[in-house]
Amino acid sequence: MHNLNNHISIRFEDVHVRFGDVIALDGVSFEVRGPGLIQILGPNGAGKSTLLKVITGLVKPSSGRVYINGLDLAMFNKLNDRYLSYVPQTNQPPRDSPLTVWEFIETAATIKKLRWPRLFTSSVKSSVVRCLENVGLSREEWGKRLRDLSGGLFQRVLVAKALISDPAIVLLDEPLASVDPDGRVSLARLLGSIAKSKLVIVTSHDPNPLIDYTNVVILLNKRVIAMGDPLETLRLYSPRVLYPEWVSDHGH
Amino acid sequence: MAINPLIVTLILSSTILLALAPHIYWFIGYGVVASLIGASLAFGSISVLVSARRLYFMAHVVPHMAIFAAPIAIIVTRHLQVNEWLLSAIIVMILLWASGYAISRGLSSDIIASLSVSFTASATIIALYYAQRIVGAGRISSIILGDPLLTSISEGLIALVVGSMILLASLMVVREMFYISVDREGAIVDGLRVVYYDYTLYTLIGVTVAIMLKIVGFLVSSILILVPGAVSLLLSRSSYEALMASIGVSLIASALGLYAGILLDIPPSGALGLILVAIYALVWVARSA
Repeated sequence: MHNLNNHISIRFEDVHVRFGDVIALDGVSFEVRGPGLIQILGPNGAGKSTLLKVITGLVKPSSGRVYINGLDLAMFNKLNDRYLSYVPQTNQPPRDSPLTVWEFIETAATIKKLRWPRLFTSSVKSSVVRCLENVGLSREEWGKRLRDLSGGLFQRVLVAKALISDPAIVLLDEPLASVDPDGRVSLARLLGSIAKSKLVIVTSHDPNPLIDYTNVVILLNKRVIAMGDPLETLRLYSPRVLYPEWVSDHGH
Repeated sequence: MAINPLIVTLILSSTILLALAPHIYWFIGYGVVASLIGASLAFGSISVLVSARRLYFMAHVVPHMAIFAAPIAIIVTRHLQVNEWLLSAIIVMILLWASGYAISRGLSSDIIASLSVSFTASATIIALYYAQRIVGAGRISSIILGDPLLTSISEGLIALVVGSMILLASLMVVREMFYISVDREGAIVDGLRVVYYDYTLYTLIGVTVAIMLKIVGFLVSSILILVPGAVSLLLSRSSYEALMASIGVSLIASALGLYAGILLDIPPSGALGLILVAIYALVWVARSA
């Protein structure tokens, strides 16, 4: 496996995605390099989640190409298993799951590192401990059931799951959406520290919580409207992209 | 894999209770005990998997498929030299795989349940009409109502072997099943072949219900798919513990159902179902208090 962490890039070339008659992405082209934190901003229905799913391989483009470090995703279908982790948009912890934080992360580690049937998990214990410590979960929280966690702690667990295989690229879909204000600050700090060594791509409605850690902002509305330095890009473009109805109502 | 000692005690004591039945009642054979233990292992295992994956609609759909498959198998085996249970299991699995495929193509579980139950219920009436001419009303009644007391030693052993195999298979997939239920898309990106787990689950459910239908009956099999797993999720702190708790609940309900059936002179499978509902209510009230 290549060590991508020191040189990570994702390139979209004229990517289109259609779901029946609905156009989700309409000729998206950009290139981002890591390590660093990339925020993808846009209104509801802008195609943010779809864009992440294209990178993961969960959604196949109708046309266009996606390259990870120069390798065509369509040609190397194992690329996403090896190099990236994905945290989908999840509002609440699972209501009735008996899994504890420890078992959830241990299972994630065994899926990545052991062959089925994965009954003996002792070889992954040290990596689980390291991962849970890295995301700042206390030992008391390791034994808690997922269903007993707050939204913020659950998101932290999902980030731990994403990091267990030490991927070069971490994709997070609206990770701060259901987190309380205090949890949001500490989770943003965690994502900022992860972005020092990995390419972290985050979708969001609200750029503010992560703005201090963001290297590049991409404003998306089915296609890339603007991209670049966070403060400069947001100053020039964000109202038009993030609040299009408000802008049209006020004649700007 | 640390398992709660209370759950181990529950499993052991209910197994002993079942094993003692032939010593207490002369008309209870070891085939009956083996069939109830086998059914408990199988239903306890799949119940927790169904709960893990929230495939609760299956509890309503699969028994209908099984009661459709059973008379078809009776009719076909009259003309062809094939094993009746095996044929029944294959028919249920084909129907389940077709349903699973429809889900993967985006059809909602409600629509699948409606179509599937409508088809199997109607076709079952016709199949039962012809099967009854071949094997008589008593046999048909045991498919619908279930009667573990009529199980022979060879049928009991088959149920025990199938139950043990379902348990073994469940042990190998239960953690991943719960993992998928937390984050299906993330699991796919992590490299888990989620579709294999889907079809494994359909197969385990199909085999269990088709093979155990004669023991527990069509009417109670829905409860056995739903309740043990639901109770175990209220009690457990890990996937393996949930699996064991679900089996423990199935076993104690089987044991108490057998004794209640004999003592009160009611069908044991009916008593088993009522006991399961009572266990769920008790645990739920205790947890809410």
